[in-house]
Amino acid sequence: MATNASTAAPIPRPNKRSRYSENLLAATAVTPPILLLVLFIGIPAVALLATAFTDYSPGIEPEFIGWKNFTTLFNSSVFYSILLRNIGYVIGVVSLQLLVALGIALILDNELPYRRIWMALLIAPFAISPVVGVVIWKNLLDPSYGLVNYVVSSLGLPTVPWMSTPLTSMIAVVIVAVWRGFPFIAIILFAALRGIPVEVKEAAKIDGATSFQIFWHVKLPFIMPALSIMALFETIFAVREFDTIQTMTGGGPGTSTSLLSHYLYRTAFGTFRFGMGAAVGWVMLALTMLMAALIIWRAYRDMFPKNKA
Amino acid sequence: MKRKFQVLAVAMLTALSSTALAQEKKLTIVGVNIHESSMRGVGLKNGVDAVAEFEKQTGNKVAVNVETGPGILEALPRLGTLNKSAEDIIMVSQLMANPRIAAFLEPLDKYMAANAIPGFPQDWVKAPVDSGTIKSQHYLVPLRCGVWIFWGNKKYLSDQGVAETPTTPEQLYEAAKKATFTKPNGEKVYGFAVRGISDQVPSGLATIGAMFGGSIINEKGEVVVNSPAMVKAAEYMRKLFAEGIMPPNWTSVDADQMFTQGRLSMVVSNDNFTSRFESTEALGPGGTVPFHVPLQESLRKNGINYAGSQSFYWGAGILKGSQNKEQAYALLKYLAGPQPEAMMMSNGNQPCRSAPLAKLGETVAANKVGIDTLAISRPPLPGNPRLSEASDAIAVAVQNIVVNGADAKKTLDTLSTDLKGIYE
Repeated sequence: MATNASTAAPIPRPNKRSRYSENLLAATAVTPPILLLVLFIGIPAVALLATAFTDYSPGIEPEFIGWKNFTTLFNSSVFYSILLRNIGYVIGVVSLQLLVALGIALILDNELPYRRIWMALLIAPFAISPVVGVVIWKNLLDPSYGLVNYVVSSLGLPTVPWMSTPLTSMIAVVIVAVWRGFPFIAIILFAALRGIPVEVKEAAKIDGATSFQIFWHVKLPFIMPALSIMALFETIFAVREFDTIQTMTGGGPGTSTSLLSHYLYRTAFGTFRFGMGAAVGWVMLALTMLMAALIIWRAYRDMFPKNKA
Repeated sequence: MKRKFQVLAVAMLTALSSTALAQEKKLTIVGVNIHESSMRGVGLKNGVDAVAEFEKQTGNKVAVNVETGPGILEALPRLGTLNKSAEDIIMVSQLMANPRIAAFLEPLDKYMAANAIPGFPQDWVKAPVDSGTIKSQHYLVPLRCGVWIFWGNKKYLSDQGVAETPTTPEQLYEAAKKATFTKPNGEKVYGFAVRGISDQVPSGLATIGAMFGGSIINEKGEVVVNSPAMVKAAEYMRKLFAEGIMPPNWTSVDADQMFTQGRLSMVVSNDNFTSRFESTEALGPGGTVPFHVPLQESLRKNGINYAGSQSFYWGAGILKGSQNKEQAYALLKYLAGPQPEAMMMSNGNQPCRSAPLAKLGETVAANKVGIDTLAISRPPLPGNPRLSEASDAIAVAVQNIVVNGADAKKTLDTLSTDLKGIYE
């Protein structure tokens, strides 16, 4: 019996040949996505960067102009107002989406009657084609015949001149963006909430924790990874928001609802200044990466604490 | 069995090659919905297919790819820079016809030398031919010409006590105010609108400006967008908007659609929209009254008591990357011919040849108004490689004045500086 250790079969060490074939397999598996990334993201990104240093406009011979597109951009008050609006839009829309989605996920987490029907209804905005959804909202919010103002006036309240001032136009855009984005988050958060072990919640209850304390100290830490991932995705989606703006307001009145992606479109395809458009594209990329990095840092610093030993 | 396979293989090859041949015989026109309806009669009550005869004669299948207004602006540089494009012909409007079209389109002169279009260019209206001519080379054959005029909903105007169509800006304001009302079902009808969506704003400003004797760029090519007349025009538009006479969502709503849906009493729109407006249930046949652009009393001279507006046109050009240039030219020549021209006219298209244009004015009231107006109108902005930039700057400035309440004089002064940077 004492010979167990000596008689146990040694773990076979992979020989050189099998290690080579393993590496080959790994390389074969990884190469296609890397090639696709280089082809569809890397090369266009480099080409875009190169374009940003030219005055390229279709039909006119491009010339290298150095940093001029970037300096023009950062000397433009219109660009600054759009940049600030975009940052405000991202913060506002993502916060609202997360709050609404979290509220709905918490409601669904209770033993609601007909929960499956509620969930099916919840997914509807997500299932509708984005542009169709925006067009429906555009009609619902129409100041003269829209259903929203009809309901508001039926209740004896003053009607809202939707899409008639910079403020009401922006509010309309935010409403639609939140409506489009929250169902997906709610479904993910609901799944995360269902994944919390019942014993943990029961233990908190036995210890006398209130509902809020259970939410704050038990549920929230458990769903935080899902919440962070959703915040990250929605931030990226909000930075590049285009279809709602283009379909609902066209960026107007003036440029009061224009965001970076719409400004990029208008610059590149509306006025054919592709070089300037490329510069806006790089600013957008930098902004997205910065915001994403902030979220990732905030979300994961607690999950992977430094080894203090 | 082997024999059966051989027969099957031959049949499949024949089918494939005939499909390939059929694909080769396809010509694609890129335009907007109005081109599809005028060429093929799509969406019209008694529309006729003006292209069917060409398809029959040549065996070419013609497809019209319909783009949106902004979509067609974007399509020209996108398709025009391709070495090989599946599309053959593109419709180019005055918003797009600037010197850079030479980089996207095929010069037509060599085709014309071999197979001339009868009467071209001498029988055509001069301005659209000129703007499609770059360095003495023709790039466009103008097929659709017109001008903006005023249209009124006959019933609404008479019901609201507007007996006569307005002839001065002051009368227009009073009439529009009267004709702003709420239907018994609670739906509001607005008195007046000129198109407010970005790419249409320069034309709108040019038309309202003309009522006060102003223009964006004068005939000498000088930027005069901040002249007192234009400041007055911008303030006039703001007044109509602020008082709820123009729709509150003016910058995002389709004014023509509102008019056809019976939600607008008066609109500034194309003179060749008789078929379109009379095809709609909301207005019914004869439900509209076309009238001249009002003109300030003090500006009237030589017996003309109306203002000009913005003239517009669509020309057809052959894309540089077209794989069927000869056939595409054959289609252009066919469309410019008298028979398809007449068929397109019956579909509501207003041609660019002077003689049929004049004849049209004898029978259709809106075209009569249009021909009068066309004689004293021009495109809102002259051709320039940075035309879209100018158009965009005007749209932002005007929307800022009208909706956001920006100071008209200051905003137009800034706009003037921007436009001078582009044009002068």
